[in-house]
Amino acid sequence: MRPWLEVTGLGVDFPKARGRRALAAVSDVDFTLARGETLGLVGESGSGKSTLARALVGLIPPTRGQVRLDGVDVTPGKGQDGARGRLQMVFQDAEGAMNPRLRVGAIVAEPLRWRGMGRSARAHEAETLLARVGLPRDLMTRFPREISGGQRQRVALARAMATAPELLILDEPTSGLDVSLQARTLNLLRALQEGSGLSYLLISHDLGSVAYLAARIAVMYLGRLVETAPTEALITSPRHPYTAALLAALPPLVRGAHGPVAAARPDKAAGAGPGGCAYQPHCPYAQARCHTHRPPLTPGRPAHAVACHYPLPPGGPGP
Amino acid sequence: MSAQDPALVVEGLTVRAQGLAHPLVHDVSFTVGRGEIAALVGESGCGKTLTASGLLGPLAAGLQRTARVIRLAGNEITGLSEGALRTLRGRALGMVFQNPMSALNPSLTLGEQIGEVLRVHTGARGAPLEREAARLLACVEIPDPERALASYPHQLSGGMRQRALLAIAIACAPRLLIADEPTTALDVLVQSQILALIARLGAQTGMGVLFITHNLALAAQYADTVLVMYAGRLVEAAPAQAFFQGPRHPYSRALLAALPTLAARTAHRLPDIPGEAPAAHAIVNACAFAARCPRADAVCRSQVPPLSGDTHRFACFHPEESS
Repeated sequence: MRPWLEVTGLGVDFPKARGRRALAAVSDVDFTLARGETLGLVGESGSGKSTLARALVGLIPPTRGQVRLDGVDVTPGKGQDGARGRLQMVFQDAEGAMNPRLRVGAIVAEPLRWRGMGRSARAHEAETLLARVGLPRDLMTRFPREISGGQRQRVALARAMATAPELLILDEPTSGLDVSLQARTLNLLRALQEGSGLSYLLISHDLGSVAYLAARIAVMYLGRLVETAPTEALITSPRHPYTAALLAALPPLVRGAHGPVAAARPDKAAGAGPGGCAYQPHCPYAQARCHTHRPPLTPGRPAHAVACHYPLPPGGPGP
Repeated sequence: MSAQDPALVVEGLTVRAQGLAHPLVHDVSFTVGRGEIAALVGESGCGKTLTASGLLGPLAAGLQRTARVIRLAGNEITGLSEGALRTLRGRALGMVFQNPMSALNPSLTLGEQIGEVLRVHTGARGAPLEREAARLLACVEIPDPERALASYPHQLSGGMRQRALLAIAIACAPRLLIADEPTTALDVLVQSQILALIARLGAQTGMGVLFITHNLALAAQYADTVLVMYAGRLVEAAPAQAFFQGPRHPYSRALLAALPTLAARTAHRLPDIPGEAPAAHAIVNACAFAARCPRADAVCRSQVPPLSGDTHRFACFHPEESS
């Protein structure tokens, strides 16, 4: 059976000054997503997570690759309008993503114009959407700056739901929120998904939140996916040394009984030579081959793919 | 100031706002020892930052501070003139903030910004000043300090910017560092690295750290003392180990339970805390947490529980069992 969402070979280049090579922010990204499924995307700042998300919704046109939805090519920038409204993005900075001069009701109602609704139908639907994310109707007449950060986050979510999307791309939906609000937001996201067939691509550097919501996790390092696996397998048996290092760096309170896994501390990388593995400068297990040959993301079983010449052995925390 | 004095002793700190009958920060007392990290935790709006700025900083217009004791490295500061206080702050206090980009001047190089602090507070000039600036960048583990001195903030990563701010904060060898959400904007790996660096600096120099955060996991990893604030009051204060093994205040316990840990991944829902935290000045004659607390009874709704205890202090009539 064809997967519902299928991304193949996606790449985004940022042009540089004349005469210099373009910077590849995202390269060779392949993944699939089923209806109602949540895929977590983790990695450091600058690893290309947000660029990948923006490329999927067409905010930054992808340079290479293909996005297919139900088998139909909906790659942004190719002229098709097939995915419009079906994929929606919820931005990290909810306040920055809202027009400060519009009231909450208008912010949520705006995408509904696109569905061809009249004024009163829009107002009514906006109220329903706010109720779905647990906000009272009297918020409709407030401005974004007059409500709390947690409420703004929910307004952003309500607005994204306005086009009845099939996939929500959530970029760091809980970063900057207090513990209690974070828990409430995660619970809300799970409740919205239950029974609705809504899929999530959840981008976060917080493995704890990702593990709670996502059935599968993809790990990104310097623009490439280095490991994708079911959440359980990724946490209990990471194969890529970078994934192991990410887990080892979690505060013990979050990590609990998992690990610590023996691995070098990854720091901002200068990157390897053009041919080698990008993680090689930080990898405690790197060998000669890692300097010269980039390991492709190689599928293994069960549904556990890793891009490493010398992956950690399966089934245990660390070598 | 003697080398043996605690970095900070606070007794009865209260901050009032003009026109409000009840204080925003109420009767807060704690000590930050030499080389110790005290984590001040709580939700947005609970008064963490106001406590920190109320301690030593100039307050915003309309706010007023009172305290029985505020001793910075052995120096009593209550009653000092603003001029004397400014001198003491320059000598004994360093601060780092949440957003390193807005705390740095985008149009000056790091060298110019660190140099300015050193010139004002140590009077250094020329080559010795440059050497000292490079030494500071090396202290905060910025690779290739010479090159970093010539860099502008936008040329550095978020983590490097926060290190640069830290270098400025420790330029005058402060006895107390106030770090207000220093890592909130950074990703997990870098957060850990910055906190580990702050802990090393504290251990090497005896500098005490007041670490303001809502990140309990980081507090658990790096703090020696945990101070939990709710609606303008301290509700629990304890050595970190005792706190994380057995928090006594129901609010503390609820905060810990709400953390999305790896172990919680299979939970059907995370136990969040129902309702909203009240404003500090809105609650009189009751425990501010009573409305959200599963253990609250009539007593909790009619009296403010005092913060009591010896090393492990908590403000609750019906505390959780100690473990």
